[in-house]
Amino acid sequence: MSGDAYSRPAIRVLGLVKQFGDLRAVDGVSFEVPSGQVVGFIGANGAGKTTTMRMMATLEHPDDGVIEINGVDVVQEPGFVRRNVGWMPDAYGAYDAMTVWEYLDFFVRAYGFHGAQAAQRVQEVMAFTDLESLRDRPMTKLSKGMNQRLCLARTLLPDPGVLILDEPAAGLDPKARIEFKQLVRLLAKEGKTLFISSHILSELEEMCDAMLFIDQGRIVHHGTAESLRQRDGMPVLVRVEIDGPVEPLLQWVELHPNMDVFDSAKQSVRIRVHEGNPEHLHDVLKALMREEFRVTDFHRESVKLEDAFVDILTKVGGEHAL
Amino acid sequence: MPFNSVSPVLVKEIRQGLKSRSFAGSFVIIQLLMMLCILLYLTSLRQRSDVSFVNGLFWFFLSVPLVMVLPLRGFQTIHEEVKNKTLELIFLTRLSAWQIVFGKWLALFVQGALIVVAVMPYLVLRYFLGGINLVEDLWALGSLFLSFAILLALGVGLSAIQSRVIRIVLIVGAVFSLYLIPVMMISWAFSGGGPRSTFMMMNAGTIAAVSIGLTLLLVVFLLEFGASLIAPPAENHALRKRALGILLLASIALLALLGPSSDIYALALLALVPIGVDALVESARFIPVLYRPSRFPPRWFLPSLMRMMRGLFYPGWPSGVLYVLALMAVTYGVGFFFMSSSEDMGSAFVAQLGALLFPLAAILLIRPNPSSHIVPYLVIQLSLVIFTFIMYVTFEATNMYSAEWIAVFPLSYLMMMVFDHDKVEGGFFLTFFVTAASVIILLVRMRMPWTRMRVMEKMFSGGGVTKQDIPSATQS
Repeated sequence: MSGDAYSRPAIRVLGLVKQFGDLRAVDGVSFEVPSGQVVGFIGANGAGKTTTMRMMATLEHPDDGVIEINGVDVVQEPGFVRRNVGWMPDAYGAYDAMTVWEYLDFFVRAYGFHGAQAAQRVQEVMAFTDLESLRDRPMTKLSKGMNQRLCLARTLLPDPGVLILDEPAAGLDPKARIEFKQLVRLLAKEGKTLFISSHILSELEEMCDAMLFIDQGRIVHHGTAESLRQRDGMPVLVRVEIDGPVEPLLQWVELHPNMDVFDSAKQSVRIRVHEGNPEHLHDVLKALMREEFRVTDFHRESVKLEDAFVDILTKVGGEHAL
Repeated sequence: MPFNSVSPVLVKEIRQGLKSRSFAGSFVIIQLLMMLCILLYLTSLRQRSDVSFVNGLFWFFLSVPLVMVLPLRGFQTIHEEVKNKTLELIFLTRLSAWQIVFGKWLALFVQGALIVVAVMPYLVLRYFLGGINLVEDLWALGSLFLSFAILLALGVGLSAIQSRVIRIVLIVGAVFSLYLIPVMMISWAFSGGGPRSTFMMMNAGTIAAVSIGLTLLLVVFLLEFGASLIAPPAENHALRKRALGILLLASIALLALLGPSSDIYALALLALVPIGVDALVESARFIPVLYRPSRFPPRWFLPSLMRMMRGLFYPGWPSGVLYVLALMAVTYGVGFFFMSSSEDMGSAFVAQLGALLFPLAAILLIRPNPSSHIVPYLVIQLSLVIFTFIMYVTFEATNMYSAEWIAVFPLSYLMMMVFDHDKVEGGFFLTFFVTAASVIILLVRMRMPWTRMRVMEKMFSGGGVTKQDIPSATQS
């Protein structure tokens, strides 16, 4: 492999646009995913995740922009891209009158494998996804988790270098989710590039090297989960416990424009401080002491990824409105 | 592995098909009905009564799975893949749209063949018991098989249309036409002309060869139509379909060597209808890769002519309009040149051209850039057919002598020319005006898409043109 191939990103998207009638589903999306990374693609329903992924998998034609998989343009060379990309949609795509083996046998031969090579490949993916015991079971008799593993097995048949998984853990029970995460980790260990969409952030946080956040067809953040939490200007939650009634403290918070009450209990209040840098927090504590509140506990809570995401959406929404 | 060299779609469909209730049910029921036929046959022979009714029953029972059950399954086949969201998964493999559609058709055809093989013992038993003509039976079986192949292709091809209502209306219309055309041919034959009289002049071998050849071409055309509806947008299926259309017309023209050319000419005009409709209902697609020059024909060979010819085979209605104009000009030109030209032929040319172009012109007049117009186009055509039938019955019932106003719709004028020419005799100028207006509207509307296509062509010829130079669809 040449040096160029090593430095080349596995996925490169530049200025991607897709319009459906009057709706601009994807609006100038650009990002790069280095080879071998696991990247989470996060956004609310209708944010443009599936449309972007479908264009990457050659299933939709972009109105504008460029998508390259391993340096090859998906529009110019869709055949090459299809051979090198594994696409797992949110729907399983099952056949009623087929067994697990018949399903995989059909797809392995559709991918161009023949004879012993095809049988071996089916055996390999069944072993990897732990489907061997379900070989002769009709697809109609599979649970959601089993169906999901079968769907992943089908995606792995051509041994693609890049895997695009759309909401792979949606609707799975906790056990099936854990099994699925383990499979993703194994694939990452094998050096595959994984691009996984979800709207459940905690699920992706554990699996992904980086995250891409999309809203209204635009990328609003690209980085690690930690970088999202520690963005400049990111609000923080401070839990303040006082000796005495909380009502005066609630009134005091209401008077300050750069903070608001998140929730309150009998003797404690959680305050959202909009500017979460250490100097500002120090000023808040000093102000509380100055007002002679009997503070017995003051600590910063770790920011949930969901809150960080909601915050970024609120800010971006405000910018869009402007 | 016995299936290694067989299409994966064929294997999958056979696996699914043999497990389906409709096949298993048909297979068992037909065995029972055949046994019943043999019992009735034996009873008729013992009573020395006429066996023709039992023979009719035998062929009816055999034709039900072949011309009804299996084509109806074909009618659902691609739609089910879309509904189950499995079609896209297949597209991501190495299988092409054509391999998918053909594999589905072949699997159902094999199931039909299995049913026929299963009733063979009863066919032989009838021959053994006496009272039947084996040659006639073999001809009937062959005709049934060819009809089965065409109906199946029709079902599978149309199953790619997503609107269930349109699919049902189309299949009813197509089946009606398939039965209507032979009836018309027979009536022509009895009135001294018609393609059937041409067939009567041929020997058995030629008839078989011609029938098989035309059936094959029609089956491939219908399956290619289905493939083009499901294929990824970056694939050009117009090239194959339009080349097939030309091949079908050329094959019909060759038949003129075997019989009266006027009868064959009528067949060619009929063939122009599906070929033309297919070219006009395609959506225009502006994907640069579609306009990449192919290696054939070579660039040094009459480049200007080749460039012009290539323009007829791009996917989409703009090239479709030019293709239809060219095909009709050649077909009618041949008619004028080789046969005694008549006023009727000129009227027929204008009416047929208008019948094909008017619905498209009407759609583009309202929406200059439709993303897909196959459904409105077919709805307009079918509405006009029904409307004309109703008006014809009304005219007959009210003894109306003249109904020239109906010629404002070229298709209605064309149909009335067949039903009762006198009623629309003075309406030609209305049809001519509408046809001319349709052509002008289409030529105006195709200016922008045509410019976009030419720019895309230049992207590949190294003229310094880039993607940014392609005019947008919304520019006027």
